[in-house]
Amino acid sequence: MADNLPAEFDVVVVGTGLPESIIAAACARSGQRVLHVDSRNYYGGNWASFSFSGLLSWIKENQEKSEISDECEDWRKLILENEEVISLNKKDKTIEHVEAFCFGDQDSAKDVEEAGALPKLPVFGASGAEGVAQDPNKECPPLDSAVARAESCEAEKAASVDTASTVEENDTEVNCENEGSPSVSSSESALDLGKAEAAPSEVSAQEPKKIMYSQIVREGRRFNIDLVSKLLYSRGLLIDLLIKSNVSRYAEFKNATRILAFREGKVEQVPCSRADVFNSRQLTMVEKRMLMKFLTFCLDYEQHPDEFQDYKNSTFAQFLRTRKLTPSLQHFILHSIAMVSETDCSTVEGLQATRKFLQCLGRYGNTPFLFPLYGQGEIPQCFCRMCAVFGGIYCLRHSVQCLVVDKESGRQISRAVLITDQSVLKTDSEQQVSILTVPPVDLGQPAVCVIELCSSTMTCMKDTYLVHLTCPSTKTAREDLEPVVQKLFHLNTEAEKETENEELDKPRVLWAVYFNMRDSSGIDRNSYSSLPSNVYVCSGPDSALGNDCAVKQAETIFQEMFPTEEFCPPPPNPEDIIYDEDELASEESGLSNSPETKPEPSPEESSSRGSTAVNEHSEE
Amino acid sequence: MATLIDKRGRGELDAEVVELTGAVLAANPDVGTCWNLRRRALELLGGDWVPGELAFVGGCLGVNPKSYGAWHHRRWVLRHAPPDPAAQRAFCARLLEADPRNFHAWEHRRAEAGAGAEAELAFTAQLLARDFSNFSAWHHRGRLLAEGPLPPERLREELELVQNAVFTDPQDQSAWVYLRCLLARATPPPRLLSLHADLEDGTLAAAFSRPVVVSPGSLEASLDDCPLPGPWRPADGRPRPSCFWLCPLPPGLATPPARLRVAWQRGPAHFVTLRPGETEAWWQEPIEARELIWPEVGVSDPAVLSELAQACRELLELEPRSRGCLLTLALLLGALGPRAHGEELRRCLRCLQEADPLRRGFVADLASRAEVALELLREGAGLGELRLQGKALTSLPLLERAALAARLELAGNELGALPPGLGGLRRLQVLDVSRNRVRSLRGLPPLPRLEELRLDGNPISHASDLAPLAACPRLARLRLAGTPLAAAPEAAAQLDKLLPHVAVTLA
Repeated sequence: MADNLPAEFDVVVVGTGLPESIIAAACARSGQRVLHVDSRNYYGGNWASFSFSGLLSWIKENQEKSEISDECEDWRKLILENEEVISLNKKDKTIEHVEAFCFGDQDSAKDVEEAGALPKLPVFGASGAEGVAQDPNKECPPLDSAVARAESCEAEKAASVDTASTVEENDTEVNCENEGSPSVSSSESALDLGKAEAAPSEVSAQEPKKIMYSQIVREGRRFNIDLVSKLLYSRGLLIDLLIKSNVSRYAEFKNATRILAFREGKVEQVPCSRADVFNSRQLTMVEKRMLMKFLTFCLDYEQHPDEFQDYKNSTFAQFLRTRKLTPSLQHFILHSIAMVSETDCSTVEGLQATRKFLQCLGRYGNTPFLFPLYGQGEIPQCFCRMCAVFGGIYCLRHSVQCLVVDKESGRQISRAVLITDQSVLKTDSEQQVSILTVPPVDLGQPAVCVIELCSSTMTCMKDTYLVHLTCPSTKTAREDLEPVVQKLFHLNTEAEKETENEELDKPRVLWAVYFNMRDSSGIDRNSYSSLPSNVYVCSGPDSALGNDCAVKQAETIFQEMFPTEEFCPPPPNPEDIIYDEDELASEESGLSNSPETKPEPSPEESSSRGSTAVNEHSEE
Repeated sequence: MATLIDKRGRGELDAEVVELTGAVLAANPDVGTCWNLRRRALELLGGDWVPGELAFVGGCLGVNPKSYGAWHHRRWVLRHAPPDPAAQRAFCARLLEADPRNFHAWEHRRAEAGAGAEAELAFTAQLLARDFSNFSAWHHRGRLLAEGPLPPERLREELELVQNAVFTDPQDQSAWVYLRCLLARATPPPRLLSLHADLEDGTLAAAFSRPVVVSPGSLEASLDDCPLPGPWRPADGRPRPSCFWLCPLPPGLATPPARLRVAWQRGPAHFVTLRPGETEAWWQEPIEARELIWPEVGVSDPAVLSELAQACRELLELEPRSRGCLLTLALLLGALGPRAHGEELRRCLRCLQEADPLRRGFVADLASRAEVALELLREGAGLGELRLQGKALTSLPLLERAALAARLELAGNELGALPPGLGGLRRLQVLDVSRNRVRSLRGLPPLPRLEELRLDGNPISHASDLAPLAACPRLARLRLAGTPLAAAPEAAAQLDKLLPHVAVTLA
């Protein structure tokens, strides 16, 4: 197959994270010949979403940090005399301090296999993972990814070409869901999580089902777990781009259903839209008016400069104190609506953040956020698909043998992913997508953003919730986030000791993983030494909630590369395309020598989604 | 369409008509002619066309969910089918899901598909939770609550709901309207306020709390147990409901004492006794302060009203220019008793006038009503006198409460005309309307005891505008200084001709 691949490309994109994928799509869309490679066997890089077993392998890989053996130096023979090599660091050091915990009897799961998984998969990467922390690497961390624009760049190694086929894969997963729930064999039923026998009274009627680790493993392929936890602002740049470029047709979304706040040890729902305020039972009438009045003011605060001029130099929190708002309203606005820091967010920044939140309300629902079904990792893949539709070629598991070193960034994101058995705030509807900001205990520390996803987002199995915690790192992820986890959840290991009733109300954590991810979003291109001018650098995920940073970066890089081209214009309607002979001929000579690896060269085929013969991309 | 018109001309109402109208209406459901033809054809055709027709009209409503013709047709079809409220409810719910303010769907739901009141209340609550800027939903809710005073528990729930809405968004008028509807549960039935018997012009006058039509039998009047033959006529001389009705006394009633008995619609009887040597006699009910400004609210518990007024005050502190709130507070204060809250009421109405310039006239009339009410309730306001100088009155309401006034001081207001209701003031002797905006007295009924009329400084230009005064038998003094008419050279002569017995002052 490798022989059939074209040898020349206009743009080589390394890494399939979100900004790289957007650039790849934009380049392919504007007619460039694109090669998109990723050293990993999955799409998305640090933006990826995994099935449960995939996540376990990822954890294992990142805990072991095994050297990728690549003694094969054959490729060096291919370097021409007038060519130069920049080596890439082969080690991925963007992930550190991975610690996974299972709060159930995971031995019980030893013999359980993920339904539909390939038998060879190392499913139980998490076993014995507790407490294993990786030493932070003091070496120069590697470049996350790079986009290279080359006059003639050789694709040295290409054993197989994957097309963006995950959408189809997901379709099949949905279908699987209806094939009946897995039967729990008698040997497993004794292995309840949470040690139910310790407190039989706890197991009341409202707690219909115990979720077992074995079940999570078995159903692991039915849901996707994100490495980064982000939501899409419904008027954010990413939504605009998805719509403009028509990439949105490759994805489905679910509205975040509620905004929560954590105040005085309790989780409360934050009324943020007009209808919420009207329906809220926790606000007094006067509070309703205060809140509405303030929010209305924020929507056009620039028209009323006299209202905030005097507070331009104070923090937003100080400004809120002057606005006749009750403490709970101040808390809601500061932490859950503006989602800014109490200590170092200025009045104007706070007003801007509030306005952004409010402007996003009502476009798709009662909260400003959307979550992509099957996880955040879908989004880069959607752009990859777009790229493939316009002729981009994909090679996963192919590292590029060049090295570009970046400066020590130091900035990291602390992440935790939990599987829990209940929502942090139970209501009539189980299917809630909630976002909760937990303010720091000590002023000046970062607030922790908690996103709780229900099973209909296809990120967790039925009767469980997937909880993401994210904050900029100050220590290891576990040190940063565990206090918040303990506040909100009930860790199963303590079940026998805790008998107080209030503990019972909290959701139990069934499984957890903590890790630090490098945040290279603030790194300037100039800090990379000796970077050729036609190499552009993309950053990994940042700690912000939205994706604006990645979209902005992608657009900026694309504009630098192709100043005259439009960024991701809407693709032509397949019915409007008229092929003339020359175009067809050139396209064929270009990249479609091998029919089975042809990555959907004509947009026509893209309309029949999933019907083309595409190689399934799966963990091997 | 042309074919259709042809066929109609030929009287051919067959299956083809149904087909053709179907084609037209599917594209444009607002062609009334087609609906009519279709109905006629269907009736002639017979057969079970109801299900098909319901499906068809459903499709038309998909094209235009607010098509009057299609809704009407649907109602017509349903008359030919067994009632199925559940299906109709589901249909309405679907349309309301798409547009919660589709008033046709609400109306249809009310007419054809009502579930139990509680279920319907829950349904409206659900739609209001989505968006409470929905007059239709509030209205539907209001209609579901039975007439008359609400049970306290229910009233509290409703008030809480609606207060949530007004505090969330005081700019939204739908909730304010509902709030006022919740309170104004019952209009007090009309009743007799005063009676006046006058031997001089042989008339018995009755004043009612609301405009009524006196038909034979509705008002029983008798003189010394002998029924008065009538007829009753409205005092303002117009054939429409009126607060003032007049009845001639039998001639030759020269031998008092005479006892008059009057009862309205079998209600309590009121008596007036003419004594020897007197030419007039009257009876008047004491003024009911709570009825003057917002009579409909009378049945509500004053404690609830004061609580609401307090809530309005709180809201006004945050939103001093909310017109819904200002109006509601003004009405509440009026209902709670204008005298105790006079200054606050005036302040409220002044703010409302600034906050709501588009309804300036409405607010001015309301303010006029408040001023008249305050004057009626003024401590020591004599029976015969109303002093309303310089109160910016634009109208003259509540005259029925002042039916026995002998002196009306209205100088320096903004009245554009003298209301016909003045004809009910049978004892009026002095009327001062100086410095107003009266152009003409056309339509003014005769005032039997009027002696002095001051019209100085009004824009009256023609002597003919004063013609009705010729019917006032006792008029002796008329002041017209500073009117355009007074400046006209021929004015004196014209007036002398028109009103020969009146001393006219032109300067």
